[in-house]
Amino acid sequence: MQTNLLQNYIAKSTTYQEQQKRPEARAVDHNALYNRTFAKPLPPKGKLLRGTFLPTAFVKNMKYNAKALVDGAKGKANDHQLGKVNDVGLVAGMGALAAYLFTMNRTPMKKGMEILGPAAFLASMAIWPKIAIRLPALFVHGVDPMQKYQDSQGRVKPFFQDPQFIPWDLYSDKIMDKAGDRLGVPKDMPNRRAYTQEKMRKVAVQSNTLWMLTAGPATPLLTAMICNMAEKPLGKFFDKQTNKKADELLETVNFNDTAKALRSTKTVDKVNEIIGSYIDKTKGGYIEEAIDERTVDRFSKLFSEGKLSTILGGKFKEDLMKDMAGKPMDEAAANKLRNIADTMTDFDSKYGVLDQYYKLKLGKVEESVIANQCNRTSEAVLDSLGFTKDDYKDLFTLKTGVIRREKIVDREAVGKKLYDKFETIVKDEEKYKKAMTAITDSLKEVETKYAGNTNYEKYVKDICEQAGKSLREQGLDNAAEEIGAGANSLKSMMIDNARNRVDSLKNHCCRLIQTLDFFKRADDKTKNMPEDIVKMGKEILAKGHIDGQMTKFEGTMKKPFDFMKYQQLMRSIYGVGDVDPKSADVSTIKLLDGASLKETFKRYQKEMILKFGGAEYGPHKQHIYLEQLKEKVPSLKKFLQNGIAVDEYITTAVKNKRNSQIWLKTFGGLGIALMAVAVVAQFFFGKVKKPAASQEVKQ
Amino acid sequence: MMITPTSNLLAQYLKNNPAAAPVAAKPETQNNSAAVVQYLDNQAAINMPAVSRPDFNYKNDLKSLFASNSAKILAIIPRTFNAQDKDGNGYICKGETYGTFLNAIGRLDEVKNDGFNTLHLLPIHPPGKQKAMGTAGSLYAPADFLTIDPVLIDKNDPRSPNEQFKAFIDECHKRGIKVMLDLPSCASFDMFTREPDLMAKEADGLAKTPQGWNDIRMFQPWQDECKRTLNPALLELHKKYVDWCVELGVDGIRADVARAKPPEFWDVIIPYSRKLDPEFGWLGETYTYEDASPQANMPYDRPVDTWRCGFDMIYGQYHIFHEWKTATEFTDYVKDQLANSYDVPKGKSLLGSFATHDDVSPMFHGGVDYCNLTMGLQATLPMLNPYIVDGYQTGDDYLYPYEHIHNPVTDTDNNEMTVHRGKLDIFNFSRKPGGKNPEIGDFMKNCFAFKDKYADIVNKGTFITLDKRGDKNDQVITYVRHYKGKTLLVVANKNVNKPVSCKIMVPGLKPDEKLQNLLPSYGAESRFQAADGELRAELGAARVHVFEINTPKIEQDTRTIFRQSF
Repeated sequence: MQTNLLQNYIAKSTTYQEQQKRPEARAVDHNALYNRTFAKPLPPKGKLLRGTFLPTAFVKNMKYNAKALVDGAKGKANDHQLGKVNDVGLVAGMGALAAYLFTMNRTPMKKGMEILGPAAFLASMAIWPKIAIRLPALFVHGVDPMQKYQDSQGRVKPFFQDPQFIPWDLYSDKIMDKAGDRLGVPKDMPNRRAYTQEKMRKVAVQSNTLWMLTAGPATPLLTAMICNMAEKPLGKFFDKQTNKKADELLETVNFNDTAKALRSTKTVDKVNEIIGSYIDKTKGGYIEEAIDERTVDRFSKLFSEGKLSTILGGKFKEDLMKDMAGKPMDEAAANKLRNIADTMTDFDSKYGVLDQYYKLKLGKVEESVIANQCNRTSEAVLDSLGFTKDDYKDLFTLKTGVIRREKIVDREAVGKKLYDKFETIVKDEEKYKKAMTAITDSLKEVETKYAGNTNYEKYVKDICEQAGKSLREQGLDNAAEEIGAGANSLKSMMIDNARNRVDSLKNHCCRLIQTLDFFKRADDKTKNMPEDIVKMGKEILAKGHIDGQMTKFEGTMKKPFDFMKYQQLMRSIYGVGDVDPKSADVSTIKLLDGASLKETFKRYQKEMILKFGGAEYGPHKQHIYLEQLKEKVPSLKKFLQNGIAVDEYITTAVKNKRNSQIWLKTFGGLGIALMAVAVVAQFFFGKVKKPAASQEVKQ
Repeated sequence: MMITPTSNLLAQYLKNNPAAAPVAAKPETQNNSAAVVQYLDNQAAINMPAVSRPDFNYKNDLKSLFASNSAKILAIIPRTFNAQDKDGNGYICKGETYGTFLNAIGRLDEVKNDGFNTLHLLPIHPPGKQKAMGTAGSLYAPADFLTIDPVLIDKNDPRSPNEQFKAFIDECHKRGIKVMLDLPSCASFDMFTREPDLMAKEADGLAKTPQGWNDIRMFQPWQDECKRTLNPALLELHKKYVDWCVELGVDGIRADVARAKPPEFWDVIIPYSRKLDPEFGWLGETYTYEDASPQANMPYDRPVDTWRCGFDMIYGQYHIFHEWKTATEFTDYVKDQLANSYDVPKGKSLLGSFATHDDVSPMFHGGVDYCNLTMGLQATLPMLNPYIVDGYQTGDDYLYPYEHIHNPVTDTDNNEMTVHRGKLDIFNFSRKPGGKNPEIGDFMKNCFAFKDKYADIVNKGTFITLDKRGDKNDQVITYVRHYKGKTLLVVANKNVNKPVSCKIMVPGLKPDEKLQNLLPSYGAESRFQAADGELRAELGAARVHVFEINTPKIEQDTRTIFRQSF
C-alpha cells in the first residue's frame, strides 16, 4: 500500500510531471539496459582439446596415469585419478595375463598372438567408438560426442561424460552459432544457444548409449578381425626371425657360445660319483672290487642320456662290458671313464645346438621354417589356380555325422575341379605363367633358405667324427662306429633326416610343376600324345599315391598290365635321359630357366625314373631306367620322392581356405551389419522438442 | 516517527530534499554506458526513500567494513533468534513465542557485547506453502519478495510490518550493528504459479527446479540468453527489492546463490543500489571456480566474476577447511585468494565461512577445540571478515529431537518436520539456537577484541607462510602477518586428534623473544621454545596461538610475501 501511495505521489509530483513532459527525458533508451556492455563472464580456464583418430590418449597421458597410480597406492588419489588407476589396472592386468600366457606357449607365433590379442582388444575398444560412433556423428550432426576438454586443474576429461556437468562455456558463441546452423536450429529462435546445447547434448548422450550397446559385440569382432589380419604378417615376421635365429646358430661364434651354455657337468659329476664309490675313503686308493654289470649299465646310460639313449645306449654297454666288466676299478679305468664322460659331455652340448637348429628349421613341429614354407606354398598355389568363392562352396558336401550334420570337402569333387582348373590354366599363357610362377617361387625359396643345410651337415660330420675318434681312442669301437661311421650311424641319420625334409618339399613342388606341364603338353595337339596316355598321365600325376607308384599303377593301367604302355607313359611324363625335348613344355623350360630351376627339375625327373624304375623296385619288370643304382632305394626315399598327391594336397588347402572364408564372411558380415546400424542410428538422434510458446500460468 | 498511510512523507521529504532534475536524455547514438547511467540516475531519483530518517546520526559504511576486513558478522534466523521454547521439545508450538523483530531487539545487546558489528538476517519473507519443506516452509522459498513473513510481526504492536522491521534495524544501528538482508535466489512454487514472467522453464514448459530442492523454482534472468539480454520483469523485481531495503535502512544484501543470475544482472542491480546508497554492501554466496555446475539447472560458480560484477565479499572455500588434509592446502588457498585480489577491483574480501548455515555444526569436526581453532584463524587471516552462525557461541550442534517426525500442526502442505541433520533448521519453527559450551563464545569475544586491537596488522598486513622442519604430515599451519614493522606470528595445529611437534623457521626470531599468546588458552597444552631464527613448537591438538614478535625485517628476510590489493 505504501508503495502505491509513493507511486501516486511521484506521479503527481511536479518534478516528475516536468520530467514526463520532456520528450528528451522520456526518450531515454531503456533498451540500453539490454545491450552487451555490462560485466561479462571471464573466459573459462579450461580448454577444448582436438581429437585424433589414433588411439594415442593412453600414451599421451602416461605421465598423469603414472602419478595417479602412485597417488592411488598412497591413498591420496582423487576421483579422476582413481578412474585413471582403473584404466592402468585394466591394461596392466591384461599385460600380466598376456605375459604369463606368453611364457606358457612354446612357439613364437603363439607367443606373439598372446600379446597381440590383448593389444588388439584394447585397440578395438579405442577404435570402434572412433569409427562407428564419432565419425558418423560428426558427419551427420557436426557434433563430436567424444570431444575432450582440459579442466581448470589440467585434468583431461570427456566433454559429455556427465550430462549434468558439461562446461558449455568452453564453446564460444561463434562456434555454438555454427553448431546451431549445422543442427538445423532456426536462426531466429529465442535462446538459440540453449536449444543448440540441448540438441548437442542429446546427440552425445544417444551416441554414447549406442557405443555402450554396440561395444559388447563389436569389440570382440574387431579384435578377432585385427588378429586375423595380423596373423599373416606376424607369421611372416616370426618365420623370418626363426630362420635368422636358426642360421645364426650355425655361425661359429654362436655355435660355440650356445654349446658352452648347454654344456652340463652332470655326466662328469655322476661318473666321478660312481668312481668315488670304488675309492677307499679312509686309506685312499681303490678298493678291490670288480666292476659289475650293473655299474657298466649305469655308465652306459650316463654316456647316452636323453635322445641318444636309443641310438647309442646299447653300443656303450657292449663296449664297456667287453672292456671293463669283471675287472677292478683302477686309475687307468677311472681316467678312461672320465675321458669318455668328457667326450660325451662335449658331444651332447654340440648335438644340442644342432638339435635346436633342426627343430627351428626342419622339424616336424608347428611353426618350423619348413612347416611355414609348406603352408605358404599351398596358399600360393591355390590362389594361382584361380579358385573362386563359388568353387569352394561347390567342393563341400553335407555329411550326416554321428553327432551333427556338417559339411566336408569332397575329394572327388576337388579332383574334378582340379582337372577343370588345370585345363583352363594351360590354355591361357598368362594364367599358366602365374600358376607356374607361384610354384617356382616357392621352390626357389626352398633352395635358398636351406642352402645353410650344408653348414649343418658339416657340423654334424665334424662333431660325430670327432666324438667317434675320441671314443675309438678309448677303445669303444662300437659306440664310435654308431656315432660317426657307417650308413646307419647317427651322423648319417642326422644328415639324411635333414636332406629328406628339404627334398620332400622340393619334390612336392616339382610334382606340381610336372603336373601342370603335362597338362599343358597334353593340351598341345601338335604333340600328338595318345589319348589314353594323356588320360593315364593326368590321373597318375594329379591323383597318384605312393601305393600306386609301388605297383606301377596297375589299377590305372589296362588289364592285363601292359609294360610297353607303362614305359610309354613314364617317358611321356618324365622324358628319357638328361635332355629330352618331350620331357617338358617350352614355356615350362623357359620359366624354369628364368628361375634357375631347370637343373633342379631335371634332377627330379631323373630321380623319378631311377627310384621307381627297374624290376628290383616293384613287382613288375621293364621300367625304363638310365643307369644301375648301386643300392636299393628304401621305401622312405620313394615316399619322399613321390610327394603328396596333388588332389590330396589341394583338398587340405581348400578346407583351410574355406574355413577362413566362412569365418571372414560370418564375422565380417556381422561387423559390417553392426557398423551399418551404428551409422543409420545417427540419423534418428538429436530430436529435441522445440520450446513451448509462452503460456498463461496465472491462476 | 510512525509512518501512516496518510502521512505526506514524500512531500515533506521532497521539500527538504528536492529531487535532482533529471538529466536530459540524449539520442540513441550516444555511448550506451552513459545512457545506462542516465537511466539509473532517473530511477534513483524517482525512487529516493521517502521514509523518515532516524533521529540518531547513522551512516551506513558496510561496504567499507567489508573492504577493510573489519566486519564481524552474525547470521541469524529472525523467526528463531529469540524464540521461547518453553516445553523443551525443540520447536515452537502454540502458546510459545516465535522470534519476531521486536523481541529480537532483546538480544541486540548480547550481540553487541559479543563483538559483532553486522547481522546477516536470513530471509524474512513469507515462505511458500505448496510443495514446501518442513512445517514452516523454507526460508529460501519465498512466496513474495516484497513483504515480510507475518510470523515475524508482533500482532500486539500497532506498527505495520515494515515499521516493526524498521524499528529493529534502527535499534541495530543505534548499537553500531549493520543489517544485511538475505536475498533468496529462487521462488517458491506459490510464486512460480503467480508470476510466470519471472520464472525459468524447461523446453517442455515445466518449471526449472534446482536439483535436490523441490520446494523452489528458478528465476529466468534472461530474455534472450543468446543475445545476453536480461529479463526486464526480474530486473524490475530486484530493483524494487533494493528500493525497499534502502527505504527501510538495510545496509546490504547477501545474495543467496549469486551464480543463479549472470554477472550482467548483478552489474545492473548493484550499481543501482549504490546510486541510492554508496555504501550498500553486497555479499555473494559463491565458493570456487567450477568448470561446470554439478547441480542440474544451476549455473556454474565463478567467484572472480562475482567480484567483478560488484559484490564486495564472497563466501570462498573455508567451509571445507576440515576436508583439507594438509596445512599447505589451506595456506595455498589463502595465497590464491590474495593473488586473485589483483585481478578484480580493489577492496574485495572473503567471508570467514568456516561454518555457514549450509554446513554441519563445527562441533562435529572437533568440538570446542575445533571451533576455537577456526575462530583463531578467522581473527588472523588476511582478506577475511569473520562470520558466525547463531548458536556457534555456545556450541549448538543443531540436532533437533523432532527430526523428520510427522507433525499434525503445520503452516504448509507438508507435515514432516524436515531437517538437514547437524545444520541450522531453516524449515521449521525451531528453538532459539544455543548449546552447552559458552566458553566458545568467550573465546570468540577475545578473538574479536584481538582483531580490533591489531586491526592494522590483521586487516592490512602482508601474509607470509613459514617453512617448517619435522612436520611429517604437514599439520602445522604457520604464518606471519606483518605491517609497518609489527609482526604477528600465528601457529596452529590442524589435527584435532593428535599433538604435533615441529620446528618453524622464523627469520629474525631471537632466542630471548618473549612468547605470550595473545589468544586465550584452551584444550591441550602447547609448548614453545624460541631459538635463533626458529621456533620449536609442540602443539596440542587443534590449538591456535598468536604471538607478537619482534621481527621488523621479516619481509626482507623471507622469499615470498603476499599482500592483498587495496
